[in-house]
Amino acid sequence: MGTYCSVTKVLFFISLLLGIQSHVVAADFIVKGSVVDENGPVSGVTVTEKGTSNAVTTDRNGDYSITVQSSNSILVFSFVGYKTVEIPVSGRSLVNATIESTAQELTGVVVTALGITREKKSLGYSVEEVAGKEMNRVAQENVLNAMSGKVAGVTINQTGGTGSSVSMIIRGATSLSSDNQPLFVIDGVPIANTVNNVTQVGNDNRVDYGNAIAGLNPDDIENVSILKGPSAAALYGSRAGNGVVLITTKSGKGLNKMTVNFSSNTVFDKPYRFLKWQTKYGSGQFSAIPVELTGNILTDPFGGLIQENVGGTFGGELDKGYDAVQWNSPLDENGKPIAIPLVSYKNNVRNFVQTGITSTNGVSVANSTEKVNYRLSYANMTNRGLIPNSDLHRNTLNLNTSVKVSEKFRLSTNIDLSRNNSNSRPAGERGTNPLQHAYDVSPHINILDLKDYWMPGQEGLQQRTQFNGEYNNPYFLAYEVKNSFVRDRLYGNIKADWQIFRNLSLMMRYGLDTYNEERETKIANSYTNDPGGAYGVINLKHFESNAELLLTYKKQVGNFNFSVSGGANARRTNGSTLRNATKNSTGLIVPGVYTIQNILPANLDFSSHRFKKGVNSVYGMASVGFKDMVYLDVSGRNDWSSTLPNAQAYFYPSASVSLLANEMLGITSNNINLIKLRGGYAQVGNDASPYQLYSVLSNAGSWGDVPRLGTSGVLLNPFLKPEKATSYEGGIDVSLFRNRLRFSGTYYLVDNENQIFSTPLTPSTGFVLKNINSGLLRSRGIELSLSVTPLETKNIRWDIGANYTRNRTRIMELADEMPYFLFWEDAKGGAWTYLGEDVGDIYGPSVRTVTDKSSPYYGWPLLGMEDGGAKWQEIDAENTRNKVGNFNPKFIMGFQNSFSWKNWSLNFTLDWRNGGQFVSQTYRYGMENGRAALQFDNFIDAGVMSGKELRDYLVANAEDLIKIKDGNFPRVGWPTPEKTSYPFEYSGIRLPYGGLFIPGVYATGYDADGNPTGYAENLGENILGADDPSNPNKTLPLPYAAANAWEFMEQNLFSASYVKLREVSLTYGLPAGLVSALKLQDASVSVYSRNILLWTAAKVNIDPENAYQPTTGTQGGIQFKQGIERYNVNPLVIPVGIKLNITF
Amino acid sequence: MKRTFKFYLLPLLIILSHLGTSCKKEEAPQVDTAAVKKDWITGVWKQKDITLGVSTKVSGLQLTAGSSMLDDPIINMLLGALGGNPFVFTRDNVYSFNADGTYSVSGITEFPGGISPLVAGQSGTWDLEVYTSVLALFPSSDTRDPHWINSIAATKLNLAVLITLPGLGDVPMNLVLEKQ
Repeated sequence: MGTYCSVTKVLFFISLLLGIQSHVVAADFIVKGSVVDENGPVSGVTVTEKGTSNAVTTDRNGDYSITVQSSNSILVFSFVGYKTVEIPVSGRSLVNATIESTAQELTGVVVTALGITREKKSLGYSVEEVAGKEMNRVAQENVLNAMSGKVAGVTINQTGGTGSSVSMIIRGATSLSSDNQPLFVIDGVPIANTVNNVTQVGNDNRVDYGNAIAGLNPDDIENVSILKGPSAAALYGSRAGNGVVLITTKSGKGLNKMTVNFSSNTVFDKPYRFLKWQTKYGSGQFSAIPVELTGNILTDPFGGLIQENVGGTFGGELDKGYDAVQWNSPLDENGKPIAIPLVSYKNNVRNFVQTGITSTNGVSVANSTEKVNYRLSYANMTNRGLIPNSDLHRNTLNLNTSVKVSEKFRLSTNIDLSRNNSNSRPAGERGTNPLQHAYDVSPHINILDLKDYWMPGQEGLQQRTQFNGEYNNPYFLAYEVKNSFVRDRLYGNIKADWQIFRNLSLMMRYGLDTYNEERETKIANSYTNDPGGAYGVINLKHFESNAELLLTYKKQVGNFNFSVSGGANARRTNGSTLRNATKNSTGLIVPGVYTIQNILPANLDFSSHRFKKGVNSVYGMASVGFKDMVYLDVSGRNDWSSTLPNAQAYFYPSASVSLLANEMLGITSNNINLIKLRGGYAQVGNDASPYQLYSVLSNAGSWGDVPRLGTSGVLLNPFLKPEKATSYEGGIDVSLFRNRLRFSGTYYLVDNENQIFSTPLTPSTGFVLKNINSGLLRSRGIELSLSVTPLETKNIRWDIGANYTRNRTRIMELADEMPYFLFWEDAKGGAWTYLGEDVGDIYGPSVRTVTDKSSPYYGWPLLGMEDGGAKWQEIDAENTRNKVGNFNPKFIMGFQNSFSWKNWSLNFTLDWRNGGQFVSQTYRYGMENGRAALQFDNFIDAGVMSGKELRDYLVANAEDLIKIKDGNFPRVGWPTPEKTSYPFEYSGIRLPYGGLFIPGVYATGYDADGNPTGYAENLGENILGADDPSNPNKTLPLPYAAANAWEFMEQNLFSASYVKLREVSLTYGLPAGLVSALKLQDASVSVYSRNILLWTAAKVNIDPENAYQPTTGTQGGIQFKQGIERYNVNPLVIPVGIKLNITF
Repeated sequence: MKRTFKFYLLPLLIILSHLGTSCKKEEAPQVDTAAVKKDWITGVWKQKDITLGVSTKVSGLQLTAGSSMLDDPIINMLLGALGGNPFVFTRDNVYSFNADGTYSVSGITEFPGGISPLVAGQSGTWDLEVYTSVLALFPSSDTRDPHWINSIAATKLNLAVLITLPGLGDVPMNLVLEKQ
């Protein structure tokens, strides 16, 4: 995994190398100067000595004079309507300052496509920026998490725990064949990133190794520009379909002295909320009571209160003073297990997980002279996960430098080298996921007793569980299933800027992005799904280079401003995957020896895959401005892609207009600073992946000892076209009251046609699927943002902001043979979208009910005979078309608050997602196996009511107690006589309690068409026909272990609405006097927290954001089933972090 | 200022009142089950029947659960081979469970020939145990005779009894009582 110098050593080394010197004068020092803006001197500007209350204001000529404590003090120049400026005195007695109107924050310069800087007011489309300091207030293991809640139109989802892939969707998913992730461009270099990072070696060992963007050190970011719509991103042509994120890294530009920055950051994630699991009943299928207490041998029909081999926890009641033979019972002198007290362990999962710790330390050195500027940084991040033995590491080295070769020629480069690695990544989903098995530990077992996870005398061969062969020990999985990886990445560019003439410039750039990743899995003997162990190695390689040039001509002619650019790009991409691993459940030859040679040839799963792709492009854009009030942009790009037939050319045009209404109407009021109307049209694309046109041979396994090759079961399409997104957007930007109130609103509509996807074929054709271009997805949405500065004085500044996002994506057209587009199937239902409906709909089976409207039982459950009683019957999801929810939110809102007072600043960001649902398979299984405490919410206690009285009570409250609604599946009864509990039939024996009955009716007969000819009530009368065998209304209870509704998705469908405190930080900047006494430029300390789930509508202690179930295949372009989770249930945590930042 | 306060307060009250009402779960009428059961048991009970608790085969003959130990001809025949059906002598048994926690039995509770008694003792104290599902009889301070309450209503009581029959072992039976 490599070793790196410690941060301290690096800091020391750099300090020595660069000979940091500083000086301090500790006496009163008089500084004079003047303050100007673009129009001349500014009076009334407050000049403050930083960290003190010492302040003066400028006179009518903009002049000031202030006595400061030290020649190293820092002066702060502030005035309403202007940006605050800080200038170190640095021993000077004359310090002049130029302050800039905050109006320029809106009309200032932003980075747009191809790295072209533009005046914000001139843009006819929405570009949003996040400053680097906004990304660094709190530590995030993945830089994308730092954007959550801060940008309208952007949805960030962490798909699992720390280190898992983070999804970023801009303006909703628009493609059915890609993962819909935007293109990331760092300093002009496109870098690879996907959320499809799940691979598996071993049976049910799905591991998400995280997306490559996580390799970026957030401390290196200067700012981020998000080109949300196709209008903004059109110059990226066939890669612009999902938006573009432009990241500019920090440089030494603007510094006038050697500056060394050191930051240290540690955050503790304390688990505090867990699944609502019951701790009342232990392992078993019947909650037996000792016969000596009851006098009834039928209260202990299976000869023990605990059955360790049973997966369900329907067994003996805990903490009742009972004794029972258990998995760890001591033996008497005859070798017979001794009954021991049956008690509950309520904190098993809490005791299993640990406090996560993430430490980030970084150092950078930067300087700028007239000729050269540079910045060199190193950072190390180390994470100890919540799951024992899990970790994550990141080391990054970044160099950003620029050399002014001549007045007209500048060379610059940015090189980033990083290593992301882990010795053990915990698996997700079910199988080797330690959390699944920690939650499966029966409450009668103390999980700490499982810490010694090997059977004595069988170390390395057999794990120790409550019943070997049936269960997995969570500690065994945490320590003996090792999924490690190393990802080494290099990206960077070399760029030349040549100002050929005053109006003509040329930019040439070569950039590359390459990474090698090795994933290795070792699974020890006795994992239940791979009893003989497993081993495998996967190697991934990726390389992309871009050579580009851009020629720009700018000219002012009268009232018109012209800017014309033309350029070209040659992109080359290649990659490979190599896999050698055991086939599922085949095992190793010698246990515990993890080499490829230790796999029998017949058991070796081997494959290799490689691809190459090239895209050539030419592009151009023109911008015309009239009197700084009207701007028109047009652009066009032509791409020739090797993955499309004959590398056919595709053209992507765009046009946008910006109208500054305040200028056009001649408004000069200080209270109306900007009224901008804008609109844009664009066409962009989504390119095809390699190998989509022609079939190739691939490994098809072996027939005995004979290796086989085969072609894909998908009929490929030699006439494939790229997906084409046509976008229209319009918006308004308003800035009022000296820019203290700022509003921006955008409406957009994107039609994405020529969707690339597969449709089923009759297998007799030799194929099961065929690739086609078809369909039309329409996304439309609203983005609003509002920010206000309610308070701005000498010592106080308060900024608040809010943003709102609403997006809907609808399938407008599909291939004729497709009634719907399938995203995933699971839990007896799935997510699919019918023509004309919104993407994200979830369908589940429905409960069969009485459909005869003339019947008094209309709408009641029509029960069927199952498990010895009367139970709900399902109609499958596809046939019933029973829509139960949608995994997309109705809207998302973000709130930001920034409050500073003197040296203190308090910041927080809230993220509110409203609407949408998710399916929890964890709770589904928890209901099925008796672990979920939620099941009891649906159990009705009849008290002393019985017979007709109970029947009448249920009928009187039929809407709540009989009919199924809102995911409630009523049952009457209880596992034990603690509440009303009914006898039930089991293998011909009538057990005296432990039965529940389901209110409803069942058919007494059927006609030839299958319609009921009569109904019997199952409402508590005549239990098992005991009272009156001739009464047709015979109530038929079910055993508690079978009386669950696991078949029905609605029971485990929860609201996905939540409010998260994404960030909260309190920062204290050391006073200037102390800073200079310590020979520093700046120093601050922060305490913070992050990602706290403040509120969920579901209240099941699952983070709805993690409703992503990983798979090893792709469906709808993504390896995750969105809107459903299975054991993706990290405990909710309260993080507490501290950050120290020192600048020398 | 006052108007502003009211403006914000009104929707808040509406929301709170809505939350207060819409989240209420339909509950069965709350009663003290233990007290009701104790009240039901207190009184004088006449034995109606003793029935077989489980279906079984004896000497190739099928006996079904619920068959009367007093009147079923097959049972009579089988018990006749053991010297006669002793259960017929319990037909007029009367059980008194008094409010002061004492009980008494009028009639036959013990059988000859190694057959275990129907209930322990002719008198003693009684209580409800194990979530009020067991009627425990205490003929003496060191004897506890638990009987599972199979069903109970104001006038009907069905108790589980476990009778040891020589050669057959422990046989679950039901003591069916009716309130006087």
